Amino acid sequence: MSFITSLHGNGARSTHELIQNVFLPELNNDLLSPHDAAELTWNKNDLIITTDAHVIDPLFFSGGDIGKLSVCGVINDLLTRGGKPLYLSANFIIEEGLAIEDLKKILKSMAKELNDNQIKLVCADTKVIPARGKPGLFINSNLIGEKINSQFTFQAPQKGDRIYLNKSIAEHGLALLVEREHLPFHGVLKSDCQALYHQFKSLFENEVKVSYLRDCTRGGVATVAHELAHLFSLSIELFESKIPVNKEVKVALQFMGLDPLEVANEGVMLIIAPKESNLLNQFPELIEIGVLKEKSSFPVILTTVIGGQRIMAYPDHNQLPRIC
Amino acid sequence: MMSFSSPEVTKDLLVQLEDEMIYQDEIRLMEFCGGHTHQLVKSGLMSLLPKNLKMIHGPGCPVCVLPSEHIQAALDLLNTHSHLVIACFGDLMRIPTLNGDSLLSARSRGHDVRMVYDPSILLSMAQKEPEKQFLFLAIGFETTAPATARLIFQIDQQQINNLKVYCLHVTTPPAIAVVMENLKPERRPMGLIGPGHVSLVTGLNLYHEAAAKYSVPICISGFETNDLLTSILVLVKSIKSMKIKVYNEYARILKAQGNLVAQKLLDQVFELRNSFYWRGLGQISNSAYQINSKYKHIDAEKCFKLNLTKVPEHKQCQCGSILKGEKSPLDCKLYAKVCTPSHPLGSCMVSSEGACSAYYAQGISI
Repeated sequence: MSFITSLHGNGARSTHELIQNVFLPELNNDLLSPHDAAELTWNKNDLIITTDAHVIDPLFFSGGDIGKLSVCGVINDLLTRGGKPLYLSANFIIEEGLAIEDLKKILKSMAKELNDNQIKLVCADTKVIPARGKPGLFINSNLIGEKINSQFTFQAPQKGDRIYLNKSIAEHGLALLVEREHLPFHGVLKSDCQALYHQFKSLFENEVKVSYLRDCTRGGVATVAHELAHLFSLSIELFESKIPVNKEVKVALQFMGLDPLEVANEGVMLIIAPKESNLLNQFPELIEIGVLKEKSSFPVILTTVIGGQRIMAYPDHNQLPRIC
Repeated sequence: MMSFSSPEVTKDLLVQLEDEMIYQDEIRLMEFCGGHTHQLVKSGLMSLLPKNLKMIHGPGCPVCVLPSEHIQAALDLLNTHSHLVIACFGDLMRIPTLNGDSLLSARSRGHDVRMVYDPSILLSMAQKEPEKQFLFLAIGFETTAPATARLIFQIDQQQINNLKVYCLHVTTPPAIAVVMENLKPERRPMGLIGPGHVSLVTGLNLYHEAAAKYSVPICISGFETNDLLTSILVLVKSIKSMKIKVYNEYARILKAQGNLVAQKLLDQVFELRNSFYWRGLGQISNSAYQINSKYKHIDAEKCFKLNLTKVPEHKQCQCGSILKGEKSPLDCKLYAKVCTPSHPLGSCMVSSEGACSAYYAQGISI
């Protein structure tokens, strides 16, 4: 088995061999530039761009790996503003000691997501840094695209707008926590890491009335709700009974004393639309979980399953399982 | 059996409770266990209880009652022993020492601090990494003590030399006694909600003594919303009819004799310390376990030179009074201002079972 060493980062022959033997077999394509910059023909109307750094531990998890994540994450970010993904640039910061077999697996997952979404990798860079323990890998990806529909405009968010989710929450964060900390819940839990471009591009093509889209990643739905309440200068009411959480996830989180609303997702889209929008006709799978309200002293309020109300605080610490 | 989480049952129970409490003077109940405090607030039940029913939050939060000198001692060991791995339960990692250090911070500085959920995983970890010295920080009430006892038993059986245990387990009855004996009569609870998971181990005997001694009904409760509401209703009825009795609301899994296997294991491995210092509650005699002499080769207190220097609490921190049921988080000047879950100054803000953290997480502000 071979491993990444500091030689792979020296920019000389070993770096060249790493790129030729490990990166290019998975990621090469007609646009990938051998030069210092990629020259692209751009006859598009609107440019749309996003960037994200991926520093996840563990690199491999049930349902995905850092490679898949580094592509899906930016696809979903671009989608929230109506973007069709076209070109990716990526930086790989690799720690000494990473098994080259593992790197290959990660690149293969990236290649699959790129192909599935017709994205071309146009430029990339690798760096090697000294290991600080368990060898890791960081990927920074930048995605460039064009507007799916340049005629599309978002509605202004206002009170009465409904809040929807595309699927059940908390699966990604829980799957990662379980693997990272070796918690005894293996088998049933799987990250929902997925690209949502194909599922939602028709929303923009058909000019469905929506006010906002947000990829609910770090900090979970609770964090996103707080950010949006602040952004819109409105308050948000969420209905606990309507928030979709799979039974296995609910039980595991309850076991650890964690709140599904605060757990990270990857592949969960939060969509806000005016009450009269035809969104649900187009996307009957969406689940209504809340409503925008007039600004009050509390940005986010949760109506609990039993009809009590509690104010949801802005999550501000790492969730750790409680003792008993 | 889904009745313990059905909203329809909740509504029905709330109506019954309203009926019982109408024209009634104030009734004060204490939930001993932090898990109950957490559920009361998280479910929104606190916002639906009748105004003349007052819940006092008890000291049953293991992280909250652990003095930070033990954390400091563990941090000191990390600095002096380069091959040391400290393993502990999740929320213990966040307990701050007075200068703001914690095991979580130590981990981010590169020390080897590992979170475990089931301590028995340490057996294989220690065997796989023989060059390292493992130390398990064992905390909790009778709920988690049997898992530690079993770990110690297995370390001995499998002759694992690089895994030691720092036993900081505490017991429930002395904590109940301190609260009941120190609270002023006008704040003293008139009924107690007993901890379901502790009782799975201990059984019900200890509550019969407490109920008789302090003349209060005690209802051992499960952790779902309707478990709590049922227990509250049982206690209210019992107080109104002046019955001093022990009730078992958690009968679906709780047997009166408790878990005899676990009890035997506790007896085999542990003995009571003469005295133990509880954060907030002070020195309490016969209130904590230590590893007995048969297993002294596994006892971190015997194997390491632990330097315990009493760490003073933040001057304005009210955790002591909150743990004793004398004050609510809202009575503390630090609460939600400078003391928050990301920067906890007092222990009740550290664990999600602590009264301050439970209040904060639900956005209850001054």
